Amino acid sequence: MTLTDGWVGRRVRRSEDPKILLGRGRFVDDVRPTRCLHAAFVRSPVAHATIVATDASEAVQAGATVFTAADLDPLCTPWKGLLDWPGLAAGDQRPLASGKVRHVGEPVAIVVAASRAEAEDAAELVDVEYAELPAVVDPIAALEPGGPLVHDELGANLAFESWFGTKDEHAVDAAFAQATAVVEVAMSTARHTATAMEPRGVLAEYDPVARELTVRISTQAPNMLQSAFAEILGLRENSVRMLTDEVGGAFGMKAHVYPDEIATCAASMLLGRPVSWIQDRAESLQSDTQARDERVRAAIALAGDGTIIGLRSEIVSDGGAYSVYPRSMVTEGIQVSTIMPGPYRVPAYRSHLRVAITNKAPLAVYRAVGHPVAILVMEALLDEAARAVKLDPAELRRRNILKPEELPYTSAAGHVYDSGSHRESLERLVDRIDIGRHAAAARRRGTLLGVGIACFVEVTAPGVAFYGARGAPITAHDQVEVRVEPDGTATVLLGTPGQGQGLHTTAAQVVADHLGIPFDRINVLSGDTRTMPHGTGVWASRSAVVSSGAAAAAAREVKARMLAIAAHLMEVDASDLEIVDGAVRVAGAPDSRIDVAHVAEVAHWRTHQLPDDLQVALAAIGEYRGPNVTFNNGAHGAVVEVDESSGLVRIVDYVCVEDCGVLINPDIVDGQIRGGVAQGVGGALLERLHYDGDGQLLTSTLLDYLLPAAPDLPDIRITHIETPSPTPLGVKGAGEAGAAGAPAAVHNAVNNALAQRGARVWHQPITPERVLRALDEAADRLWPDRSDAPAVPRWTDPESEPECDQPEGDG
Amino acid sequence: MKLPAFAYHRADSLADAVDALAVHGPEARVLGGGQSLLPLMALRMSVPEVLVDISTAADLRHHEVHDGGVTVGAAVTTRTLETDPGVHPLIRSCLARIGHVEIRTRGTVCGSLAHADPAAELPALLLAVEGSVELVAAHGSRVVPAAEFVAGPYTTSIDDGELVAAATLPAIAASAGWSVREIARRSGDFALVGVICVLDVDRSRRCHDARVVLFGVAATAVRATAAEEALLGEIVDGLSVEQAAELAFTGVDVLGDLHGSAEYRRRAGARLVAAALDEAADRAHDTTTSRAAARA
Ligand SMILES: Cc1cc2nc3c(=O)[nH]c(=O)nc-3n(C[C@H](O)[C@H](O)[C@H](O)COP(=O)(O)OP(=O)(O)OC[C@H]3O[C@@H](n4cnc5c(N)ncnc54)[C@H](O)[C@@H]3O)c2cc1C
Repeated sequence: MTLTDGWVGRRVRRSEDPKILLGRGRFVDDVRPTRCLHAAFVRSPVAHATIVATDASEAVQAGATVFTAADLDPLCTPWKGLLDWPGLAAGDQRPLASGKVRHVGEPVAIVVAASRAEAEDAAELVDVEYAELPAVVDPIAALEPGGPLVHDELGANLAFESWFGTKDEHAVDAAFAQATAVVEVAMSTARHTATAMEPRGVLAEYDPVARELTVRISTQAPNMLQSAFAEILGLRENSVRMLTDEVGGAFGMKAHVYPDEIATCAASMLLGRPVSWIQDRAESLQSDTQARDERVRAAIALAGDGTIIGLRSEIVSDGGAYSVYPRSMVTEGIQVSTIMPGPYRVPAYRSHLRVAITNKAPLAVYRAVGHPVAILVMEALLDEAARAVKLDPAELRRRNILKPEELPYTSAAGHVYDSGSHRESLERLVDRIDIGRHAAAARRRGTLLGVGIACFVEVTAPGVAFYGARGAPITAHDQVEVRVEPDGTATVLLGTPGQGQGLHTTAAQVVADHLGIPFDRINVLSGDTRTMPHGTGVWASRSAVVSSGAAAAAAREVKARMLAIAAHLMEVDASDLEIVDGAVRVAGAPDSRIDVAHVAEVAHWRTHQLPDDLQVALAAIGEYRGPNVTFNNGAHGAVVEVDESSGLVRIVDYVCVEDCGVLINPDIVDGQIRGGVAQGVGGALLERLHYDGDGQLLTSTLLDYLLPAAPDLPDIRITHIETPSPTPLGVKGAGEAGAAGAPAAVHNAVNNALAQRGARVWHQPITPERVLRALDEAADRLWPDRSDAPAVPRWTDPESEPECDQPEGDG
Repeated sequence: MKLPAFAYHRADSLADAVDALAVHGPEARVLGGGQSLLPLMALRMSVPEVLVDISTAADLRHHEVHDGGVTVGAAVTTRTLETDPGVHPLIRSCLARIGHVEIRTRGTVCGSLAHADPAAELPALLLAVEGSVELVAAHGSRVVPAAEFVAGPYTTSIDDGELVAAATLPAIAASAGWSVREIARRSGDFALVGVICVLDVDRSRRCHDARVVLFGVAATAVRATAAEEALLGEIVDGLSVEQAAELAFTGVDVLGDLHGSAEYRRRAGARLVAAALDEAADRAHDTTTSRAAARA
C-alpha cells in the first residue's frame, strides 16, 4: 500500500475491534487466578442510619469470611476529595461504613467465599441492625440550617459555595436594569449514572512476601489509582501494579477511588489470596458515581435588538454523601456555572453555586461534566428570549454568537476559547435542518412538530490547573513510548489506556505519520502500570490531544535517530532524507532508498557498521506539551414529534455539527458523537435515578432506570468542521461533544412543539406525564395531584459576594 | 445477582412434569422460558428449591389453530405463535408487543399467563377473547375460564402441583373489529397503559359485542365494563366512542408508579381507548383490511 497523504484523517477501521468482537478481549472478569476467592458486599438498604450491631456468625458458619470496618480500617487511611477550592468541606470515606451509613448501597461488609454465588448466599446471612435517621434528600432543603446532618462533624450540609463570573459585581445589575427584555427560567436535570456495559470490577492479588499488590481493574485512570491505592493502603507506589486490558466503558464514572474496590484489595491483603469482585447491575445503579443532579434558576438580559447584555444563574448541585477522591464532588457544579455563557458574547455574568451534601450516592464527573446542564439552561433562555423579542431563534443566536475574528475570546466566566467555528457551526446546522420535510408526516400522525437547536463549546484536554495544581494526583501530560523493533515494525506503549474509544487506533495513525511506517506495522499496547510509561488516564476529552501529542513527540525522536543511522548507511546528509511508507529515501530521488527494516536491523544487531557516537536505541518516550486547554465547539439540532394524547416524544431527525479541530479518524469521532448523543437523549427523555422521600433508590434495575436503546434513537447526521487548535497536532477533544449538546437540543425541540399550545416543560427527563400535564395546564385542565417537579433555588442576595473563582476544566 | 442454589428437573413430558411437581410439592416451580422467573431469582425475590423445566417437553411444544382460534401448549414460545400466519392478527399483534424478539424467542405464552403481570399483554388478551387455560396436575385436570384465572398481581388460581398445560385463545367473530394499543416509554417496554378492544357491529354500525380490556393500569388486567355497556346497542360513531372512552376508567382502581401516576394513566388512557375503539370500529366494517393492517 502506498500512501503519501498520511494516516491521520482516514476512516481506518479500529484495530481494537476484531479482538473485542470475537470475544477475545480481556476484561476483569475474564481472568481467574488459581486459589481465587470471590467477594460480595452487604450494602446499606437505607439512606441514613446508625449501624447498631453487625452479626456475621451465620455467614462464617456457612464457610465465608466476613470483614467489617473494624477489620479493614487498620489497613486503610480514610480519604476524601478535597481539591484546593476555598471552603470545600467533605466527610471521610472508608472502605466499609463505620458508625453510620449515608446512602443506599454503601458497603457495610465484604463477604468472601469460593464463588460469587456462595458469597451472595453468605451475604444474605449477615445481620446488620440499623437505627434509621431522617434522610437528607432534597438538596435545597438540605442547605437550610437546623435539619439533619449527613456528616455530623461538618456542622452543615453545605460542601461548597462560590461565585463565578465577571469580576465587576455591579455590571450584571446594571445590565439587567438597562435591559429591554429579561427572561428567566427555572430548570432541573435528573440524577443519572453512566451504566457502563462492563460494570466495575477488581481482581486483587496481594503477595505478602514481596508486599506487592497487583490489581486488575476496570478503570480509566490506572496510574492515578496506583498512587491513590498505595497511599490509602500504605504501600510503595512501585509495589502497586494496576492492570487494565479492555475496559467496557467508563464515561468519567471509573476515575475515582471506590470503597468496594479498596475493600477488595484489603481483603486480599488480609487473606493472602486473590480476591475478585465483579459488580452486578444492581450494585452499579446504587454505588457508581452519579451525575447531572442540578437545579438552576437563570435569567438573561437583552437589548432591544436581541443583543445579550447580562446573564445570571443560581445553581444548587446535589453532591451526594461523599466527595469522591481525588476529583471531588464540585466539578460538575462549577462547570454548570462557568460553561453557561457558551459560544456567545456575554459581557456581564454572575453565578452563585452551592453544592449540597445529601444521603445519595456520590455525585461526580460523567461524560461532558456540567456542560449538558449549562448548555441546556443557556439554550432554553435563548429560545425564551427569542419568543420575548419575537426573533427567530437562529437569528437571535446569530446576533450573539462569536465570530472568528473575536478569537481567542475570554468568556465572562474566565474560560479562554482558543479557536473555533462558532458562527459557521450554527449556519451549517440551520442549513441541514429541514423542518418542512417532517411536516406532512406530523400532520398525518396528528402530532405537534418542534425543532430545537443548541450551540456549544466544550473544555477539552485541560492542563494541570484544575486538579494537579489543586493537590490531586492528576496531571496534565501523558507519556508514550515508541520503539522500532529489529524488523522495522513499531511498538507503541501508551501511558493512558483506552476505555473502548479506539485510542490504540488513533495512536497508531499518528505514529504512522510521524514515524513514516505504515499503520498496519504498528502495534499499540497499554494497560500495565509496571511496564508502561506514566499517564493520567482518560478524562476531559484529552486523549486525542495529549496522548496522541505525546505519541507524535516520541515518534519524531525515534525517526530522527533512524534518519541519522540511515544517513550514515546511505552516505548522505540526514536533512536530505525522508521516511515514507516504511522506506528511508532521499527527498526528490525516490529510487535511492533503504527499508526501515534495514535501518532497524543495523541499529539492533550490526552496530559495528556505525560510528560510536550515533544513538542506536530506536526507542523514546515522548511527552505532551501544549496549551492549557483547547475548546471544541459545534451545534446540535433535533426535530421532534410530540403526541398530544400520550405526551410521548419521538425524535424524528437529529443533526450534529461538530468541530474538534483536525480529525484523526472521522469514524471514531462519529462513533463518539453518536454515543454521546444517545446518552444526552437518555438524559433529556428517559434517565432518572429516582430517590424517594426517604432516600430509597426506586430505580434499582434497568427495568426502571430507562436507557435509550437503538429503536428509541433517530439516525444521527453528523457534519464536521476542522478548525485546527493551537495544540501540536491541531486536534481537540471530541469524546464528550455529543453528550454536551443533545439534552438542550431535544428540550428546545419539545418546548418549540409545546409552545404551539402555550405549554412548556422545565424539568428533565421529559416524561410523557410531564408533557401531558403541561399541555393540560396550558389548557386550564388542572391536575388534582402534585407534580413531581423538583424544587429550584431562589435567587441569593449577592450582598456578601466574595471575589470570583477562576475555573479550569474537566470536559 | 447470582441465582440461589436450586435443584433442576428437566421434564420430558407433561406427565413427567406433573409427577415432579407432585413429588416436590410447593417448593417446586415450573420453568418455562425463564424470562420472568430467572430475573426474579437473580434478585432473590423468588427462591424456589426445585425448578421443573418444561421447555423441552415434547408433548407441550405444539399449538393448534382451529377456526381462527388457537390452543397453545405450555412450551410454545411467544415468537412461534407470533410468526404463524394462521393465527388471528389480533393475537399476533398483541404478541408482537411483548418485550423484544429475544424475550419472545424464549418466553412462553403459558408462562406469561401463569406469571400474571398486571402490565402483560397475554392475560389481557385472554380476557378480551374470553379464552381459558387448562390446568393439569398429577391427579387430574380442569379448565379455568379467563375471568376466573387471574386473582391479583402475579396471583392466579393455579394450585400447588398444577401447571398450565395449554391456553385456548378462541377466534373473535369474523365480522368483529379489533385494536391493540399501548403507551410505553421505550419500544418493548411494559405498557404504562394498554388497551385491547374487540367490537362487533351490524351493517348500520350498531354495536352488539364490545370488549374493552385495560392492562398496565390496575392490579390485574380489567374489563372496562362501563365503557362496554355504554357501547352495546349504540351506533358506533365519534360521539359514542368518546362517551365510552370517558367511562373507560369508571370503577377501575388505577395504580400509579414511577413511570406514570394514576392520573396520567387515566388521562392518557381515556384517549388511548378512544383511538382503539375508533380503529376497532373501522376494522369491523371491513375485516379484510383489518388483516392486512395487522400484517403491515
Ligand atoms: C426485558 C424484558 C421485557 C419484557 N417485556 C414484556 C412485555 O412488554 N410484556 C409482557 O407481557 N412480558 C414482558 N416480559 C416478560 C416475558 O413475556 C416473559 O417471558 C413472560 O412473562 C413469562 O414467560 P416465561 O415462559 O419466560 O416464564 P418463566 O419466566 O419461566 O416463568 C414465569 C412464572 O410463571 C410460572 N410458569 C411458567 N410456565 C408455567 C406453566 N406452564 N404453568 C404454570 N406456571 C408456569 C413460573 O413458575 C414462574 O412463576 C419481558 C421480559 C423481559 C426480560
